[in-house]
Amino acid sequence: MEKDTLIEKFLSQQLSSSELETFREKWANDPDFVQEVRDYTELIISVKAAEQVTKGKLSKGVGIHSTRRLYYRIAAVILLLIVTIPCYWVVTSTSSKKIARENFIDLRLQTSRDVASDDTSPLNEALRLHGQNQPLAAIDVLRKTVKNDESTPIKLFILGDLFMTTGQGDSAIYYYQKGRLLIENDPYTHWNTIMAMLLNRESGNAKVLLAQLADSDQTPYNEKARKILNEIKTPGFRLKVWLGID
Amino acid sequence: MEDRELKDKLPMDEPTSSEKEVLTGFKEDAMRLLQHTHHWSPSEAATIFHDACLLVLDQLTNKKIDEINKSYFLKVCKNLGANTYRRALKEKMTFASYRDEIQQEYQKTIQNNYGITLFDAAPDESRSQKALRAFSMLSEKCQKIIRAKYVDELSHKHIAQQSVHVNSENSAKTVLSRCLKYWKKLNKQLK
Repeated sequence: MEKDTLIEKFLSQQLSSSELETFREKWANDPDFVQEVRDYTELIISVKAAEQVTKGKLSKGVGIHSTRRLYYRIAAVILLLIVTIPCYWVVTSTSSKKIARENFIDLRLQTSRDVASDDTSPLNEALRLHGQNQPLAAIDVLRKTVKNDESTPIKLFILGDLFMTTGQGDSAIYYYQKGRLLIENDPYTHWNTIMAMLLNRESGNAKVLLAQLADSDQTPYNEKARKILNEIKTPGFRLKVWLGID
Repeated sequence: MEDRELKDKLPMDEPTSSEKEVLTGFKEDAMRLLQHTHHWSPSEAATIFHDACLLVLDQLTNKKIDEINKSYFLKVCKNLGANTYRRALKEKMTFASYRDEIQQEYQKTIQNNYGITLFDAAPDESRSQKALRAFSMLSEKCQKIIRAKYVDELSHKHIAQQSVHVNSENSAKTVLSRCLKYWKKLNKQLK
C-alpha cells in the first residue's frame, strides 16, 4: 500500500488490522514517515483549533452584533422618523403668508375698474393706478393724501389693502387700525387685519382674533376663521412659523 | 524583513531573479494593504507578504498564471490576510488552548485505537502556526475538502454529495490526496 494512502487512512482512523501492522512497522523504522504523519496530524489539529476559535468568535460575535445591530436599526428608524415626519409636516402644511394671501379680501380694490377716467380725486387716482398694476405708485398717491387728512376711513382702509397686495403686513395693520378707530365694526377690515397679522407672521395674535371670530355669528367669516384655525393648529404650520419658513 | 533577506529566503529554483525583483517592488503596497486594511502587525504583514510571494511564484512555476501583475499579487495578499485561519492565529491564547485540548484528545484516541503515541513532546506552537499558514495558502476548494474530511469527518461519498468541486467518491479521494500533497509542499517551503 502506498505511503500516502496509509497516512490518509490513519488520519481518518480507518486502518484495517493488516494496514495497522504495516503502519506500526513504518512508524517504528521510518523517521520520515513519522515526521510526515506528525505534520498531517498537526494540520488537522490546527485546523480544528482554528475552527473552534472562529466558531467561538462567531457565537460570541453574532450575539453582540445582532443586539448591536438591532439597536442601530432602532436608532436609525427613530432618526429617520425624527427627520422625515417634520419634513412631511412642513411640505404638506400651508404657510402663514400663503393663508394670508389666499384669504385676503380685496373687493375694495376691485372697484378700480369702475372708476371713471375723468375723476381725478386722489382715492380714484390710486385705485386707477392699482388697476394699471402699479400698486407702489397708488400707495404714494394715497399716502400723501392720508398725511394731510386722516379723517376718511375708506382712504385708510384702501391704503391698508394696497399694502397687503405689496406684502407689507405691518404697514397694512397700521392703516387698518387707524381706520378702525373711526369705524370700529367693518367686517372686511377686521378680517383683513387678521390676514395682515398672518402675513406679518404674528400667528399668536391672529389666532386669538380668529378664535373670537370663529365663535361669533358673523357669517361667512366665522366659518372661514374655523377653517384657518384648523390649519394654524397643525404641527407643520407651527414648525414653519418656528423655522421662519414661508 | 529586509528585501535582500526576503529574496534569499524565497525558495525558488525556477523563477528568474527578475520575477523576484518584481515581487519585491510590490512590497510597500502589500505591506500598506495588510497593515492598514487588515490590521496586521508589521512582522505579521511581512510573513503574509512572504507567503504570498511563495504562492505566486509557485503558481507561475506551475503555469497557473502567465505573469505577475500588481493587482493580482495584492489580491493574493488580501486573501491571505483576510483568511479565517490566519485570523485564528491572531487569537494566540484561545488558539493555543483549543489546540492543546484537541491534541490531548486526539493523542488519547490514537493511543486507545492503535496503541501509538503520536507526540512525545509538548505541543509546538511554531509548527501549528506553520501548518495553518500553509493551509491558508491552499485554494478554497482544497481548504473545504480537507476540512470536510478531517474536521467534519465526512466520508468521501458524503463530500462528493455535498461539494460542488467534486462529483464522485473517487474524485473526492483524488482531490483530497492532491490537496494534502500540495499542503505538504507548501509546509516544507515555509521551513
